[in-house]
Amino acid sequence: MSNQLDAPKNYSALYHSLGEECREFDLRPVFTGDVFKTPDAKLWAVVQHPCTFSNGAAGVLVAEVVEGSYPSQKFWQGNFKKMFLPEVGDLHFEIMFGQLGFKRISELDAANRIVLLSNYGVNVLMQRWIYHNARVLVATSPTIHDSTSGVFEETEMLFEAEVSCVEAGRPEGEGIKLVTKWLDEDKPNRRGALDEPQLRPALRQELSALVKTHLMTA
Amino acid sequence: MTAVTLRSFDGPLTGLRDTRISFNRRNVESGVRLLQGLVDDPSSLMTLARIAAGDADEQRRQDLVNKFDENVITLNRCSGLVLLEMISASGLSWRDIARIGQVSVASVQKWRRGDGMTGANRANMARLAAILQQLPNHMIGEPSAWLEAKVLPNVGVTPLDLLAEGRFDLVLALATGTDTKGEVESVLDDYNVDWRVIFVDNDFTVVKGQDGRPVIVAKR
Repeated sequence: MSNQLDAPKNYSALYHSLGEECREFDLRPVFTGDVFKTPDAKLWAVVQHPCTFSNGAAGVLVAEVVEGSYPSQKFWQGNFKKMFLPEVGDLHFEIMFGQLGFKRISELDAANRIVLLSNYGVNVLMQRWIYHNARVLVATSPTIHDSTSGVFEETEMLFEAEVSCVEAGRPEGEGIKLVTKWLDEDKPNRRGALDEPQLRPALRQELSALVKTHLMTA
Repeated sequence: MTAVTLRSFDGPLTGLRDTRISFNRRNVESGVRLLQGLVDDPSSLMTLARIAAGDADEQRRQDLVNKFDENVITLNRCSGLVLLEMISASGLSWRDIARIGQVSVASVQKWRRGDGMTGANRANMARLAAILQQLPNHMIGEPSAWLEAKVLPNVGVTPLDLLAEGRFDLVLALATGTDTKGEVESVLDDYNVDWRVIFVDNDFTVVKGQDGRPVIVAKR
């Protein structure tokens, strides 16, 4: 592997959604790399690995996000106390690893989300976070990706089911409960299978059928 | 393109056999040199055979791309929503559909609700649907699963990554002409010559932890 931190060539690859687009994903559970604007107009990014709070944790470690300058490629090789978030609309932001806080999940659910990172973006954030905290350099591909992609998939599944339920007039939270129960039923096989990329399409198909049946019968 | 015909003795039953070999611009000079030394050096025949095999591979790859293009033209007649339903029924995730279509996930969400697609976006979806249709012809029973799996163990590249960079040709090459590790590596070389540095981790790997979730550990 390279002995340098990743320097993304294409900044748009870092993002799942930005700005107003994030409203489409209001029902998506909180995830690593999400940037929230709290009522005091401060910006916070979730920096913990998703596995640490995916099972109903009350709160999560966050780092303050501030406006910064456009990072050239060489910026990514240094500046170990930051994660760059360039080209968020017309602005460039930085997640400051030295300015930490703790937020309850319920607080974040009520705040406005302005950035959702892509799986690749989460991997780059995790690489810099690990390097900052432990001075250990781990490759984003394949290693960090293999440790985040399963739980990223789980979050997407929770969101998909939740949207389907809410769009069908069901109360908020029903889709989340449905998926969580489905994953736990076959514990640990179904949740564990999410860590195997080639098994995911079959699981998505199974879940899609489950949601349809649920909405027709419940 | 230059072509020569080699007449060789192919055994007592078949007798003489003519083999037509084409040289493209890149290898014509080496081909001529090989022909000149053919009589004195039998080992050059093997090299010549390898060049001929390379040309055949290139031709096969081009045939596949042509067939793929025809499939795309046919599928491009479908509405965007029909294409999207075909693709999602295969089990691909919305975010990967967005990545390959080079649009945001929110755009795909809007298409699902019936918002129109631009012609360029529909063409991209037709390309994705075409590849999903074509893969089973090459003994790939579960196209989406194959697209999400790493091309080689411990190499962080999947056929989906190639599609996201518009390299449909390399995905077709992987699907049809890669019976050996060396052939897969050759496709990876075409994708990114630095793949051994960028997409391989010699220091760490991921295993299942005691809680069943992935854990990063040092390689021993």
